[in-house]
Amino acid sequence: MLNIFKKVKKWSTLPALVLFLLFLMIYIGISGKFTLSFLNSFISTNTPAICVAIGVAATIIIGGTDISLGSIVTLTNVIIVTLVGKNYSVITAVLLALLFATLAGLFNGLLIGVMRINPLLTTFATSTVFSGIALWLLPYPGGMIPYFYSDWYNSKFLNLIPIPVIMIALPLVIWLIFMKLPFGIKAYALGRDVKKAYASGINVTAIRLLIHTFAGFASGIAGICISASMCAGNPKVGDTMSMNSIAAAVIGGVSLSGGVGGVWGAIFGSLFLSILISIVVSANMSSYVQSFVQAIILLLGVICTVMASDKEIKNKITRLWKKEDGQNE
Amino acid sequence: MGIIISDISKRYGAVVAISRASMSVEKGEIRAILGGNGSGKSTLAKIIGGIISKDSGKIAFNDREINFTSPKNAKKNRVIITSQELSLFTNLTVEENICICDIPVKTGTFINKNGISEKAGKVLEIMNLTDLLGKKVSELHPNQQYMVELAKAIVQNPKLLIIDEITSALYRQDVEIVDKILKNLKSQGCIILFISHRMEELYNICDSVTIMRNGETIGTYPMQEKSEDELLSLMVGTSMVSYHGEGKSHIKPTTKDIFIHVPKIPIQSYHTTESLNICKGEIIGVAGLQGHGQSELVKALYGLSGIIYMEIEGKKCAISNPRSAVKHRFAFISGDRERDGVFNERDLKDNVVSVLELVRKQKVSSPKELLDSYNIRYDNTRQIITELSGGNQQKVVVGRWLSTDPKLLLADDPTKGIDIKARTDLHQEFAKLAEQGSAVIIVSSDDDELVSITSMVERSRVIVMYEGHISKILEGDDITRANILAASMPVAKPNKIKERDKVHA
Repeated sequence: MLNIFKKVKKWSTLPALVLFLLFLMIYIGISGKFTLSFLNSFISTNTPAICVAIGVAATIIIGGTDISLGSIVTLTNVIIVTLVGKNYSVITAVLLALLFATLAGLFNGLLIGVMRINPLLTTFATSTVFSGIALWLLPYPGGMIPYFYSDWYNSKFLNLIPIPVIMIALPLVIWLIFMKLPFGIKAYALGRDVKKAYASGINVTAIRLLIHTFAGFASGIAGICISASMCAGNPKVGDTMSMNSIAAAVIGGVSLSGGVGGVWGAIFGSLFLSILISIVVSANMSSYVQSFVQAIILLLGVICTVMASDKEIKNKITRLWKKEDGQNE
Repeated sequence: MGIIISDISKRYGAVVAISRASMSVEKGEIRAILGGNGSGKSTLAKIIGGIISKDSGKIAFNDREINFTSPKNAKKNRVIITSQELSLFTNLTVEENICICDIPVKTGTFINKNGISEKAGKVLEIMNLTDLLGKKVSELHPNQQYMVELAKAIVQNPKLLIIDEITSALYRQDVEIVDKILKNLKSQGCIILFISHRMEELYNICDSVTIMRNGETIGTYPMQEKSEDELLSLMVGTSMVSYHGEGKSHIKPTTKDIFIHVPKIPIQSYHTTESLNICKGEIIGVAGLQGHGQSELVKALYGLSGIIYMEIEGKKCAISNPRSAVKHRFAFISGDRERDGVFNERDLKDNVVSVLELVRKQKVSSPKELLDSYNIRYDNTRQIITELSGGNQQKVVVGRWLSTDPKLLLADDPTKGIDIKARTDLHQEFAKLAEQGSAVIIVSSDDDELVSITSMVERSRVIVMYEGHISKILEGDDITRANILAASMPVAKPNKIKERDKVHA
């Protein structure tokens, strides 16, 4: 029993889960509504963010990062709208867009894994490339996707599981399978130290290639979902998603130095972020103050989770207090 | 059969790391490779292990020429290299680390968790370390980490095992286990290349020794044929005599010249506290078996385990963190250079002046002079510090601290993994500091080192730690290896209270 307690305490996802539940409670308290339909719409609007968070968490875990995922989401959305506008069937458009998103991830992976360019620089550059292509295809918001696409997205698979949940499950299950393979251990090892990983005979290039492709795939899924909820195209739709997803991953206990944390944390981190936005919006503040308040709470959230997961930082902070005591004596 | 290395060369830019190194080792032979800092031992080891590539030369292994392009490639041929800097992942568990090069799977694809524990358990059982199973490597003591490193090498069933300074931080009881394991591998026909600076181990473990100097292989001799002094002369190229003189006359400290009195030093892992009186001009050696609180003792004095109260020259003060320790003119030299010593991406000048200029706010007029005064081998002061060999890096760190003219020097295994010449240099610097009236507290996993350094000054003690307590204080002619050994492994528990009264007196 005590062991289970200790394990839970050490679980890196815990702070994000607690934060999410806490703010969910606050939200319910403020708005006074908690129904199944609220839950459904909450999940379906946040599915894209969750998918991107899963993708970015994977790249951070192997010691890299990816700030181009938001642009890949945009690209997916724009490709779907453009193809549908050219009279392709929706399903072909969606699958082709997913393929392109995955290829975009592969492209990142080639630059980072094979050519060994710094991941931050690479994805900074490619994010501009991807959003450039998106703007070229669709210079302004517009386009139309048939409404049955949206209906499908808001329906349930076999009348049981909501489609958004299945969409989240796609990248999640792939990741969980990764973790069951020797690949999983090696990915975490790589995240801790590249040199040591290489000296241990781990195929660094292959892992980077695969993980960045996976991140591209996850963003493609996100793009599909966001297109379904908008039923239109917008060349700016993914702009804020890159950074938000990184924040979500960090809140979820994924260490930016690599090798620590998991995708469950990223999922709850991103849920926390969106419930936070809902609260700030429902508090009827002016839109100028909104993002400020949101950012302050986000900062506090990051500090809390980092403190909870990083023993050394925690010790340092507690020592600061002790020092004050010492001087009073 | 065996491995034949002929005419290997490797240069980094203008620096020649190895030039025409040659040697051959028979199957089932344990070969020591001995050489000073920057003599090319590690480079040669890394070339054989496939971590770096060679410029020219040939390596033939079991009558077949090999040319490994990556460590993975070398591992396939069961050529395994294990070294301090290139091994464990602190975020993974012990068993995952041990098995990471070949993770057991079930049904051909999925991780077999039980298989991993079993495989790792088998090796750890030989090492008497089964209690490490399930722990993360970050929770282990450095010495346990080295043992896990060795375990990781052994599970790969090496035919050629290269051990690069793995034993330089091991304590006595571990060295025996390592010895047993290596003898066992030897009987299976495994070739072992053993890089170490500890003469005692080399004589115990190795069959023969190859001496390297300035990137060249000077010669190979049967281990027992050469005395320690002969080997040293071969390493440095001129004849020199080691200084293992035991027990110069010692003056017992009187209560009058107590310089620092620390009533309570917390040893966190044992939840104990100890007290210590430190005199001016004294060298205190701290001995004991692995992880009995020695390094925690010095780290606590440096304010690294929270606030600590002490009396310095009769004045009460509190040290809450390293910054305030530096203000009181303490210095701390760690054996873990990479973590606590060098600023990796900075040049020599920045490294050597960092404390003086950044903490003390004193301008250093000539960093070059400073570097020269500590016998550091370097090209120019704008060189990145990691271009130097380990021993020279450590000298820079020592120079950084000694230039601040510290009143109390705390050293935690400062000569870990550096060669005997550099070690002697450091000891002489420490002794000089003590002669000028400062105090030195030095932890070492090598009893010989403590015996020799305490014999270099008039006033010295060796305190032996056991389970978080000071179990014995040795002074004067009592400071011998035999006594230290006896005190660090008390058969019947000694009367600790009585011993501690001695400390208070």
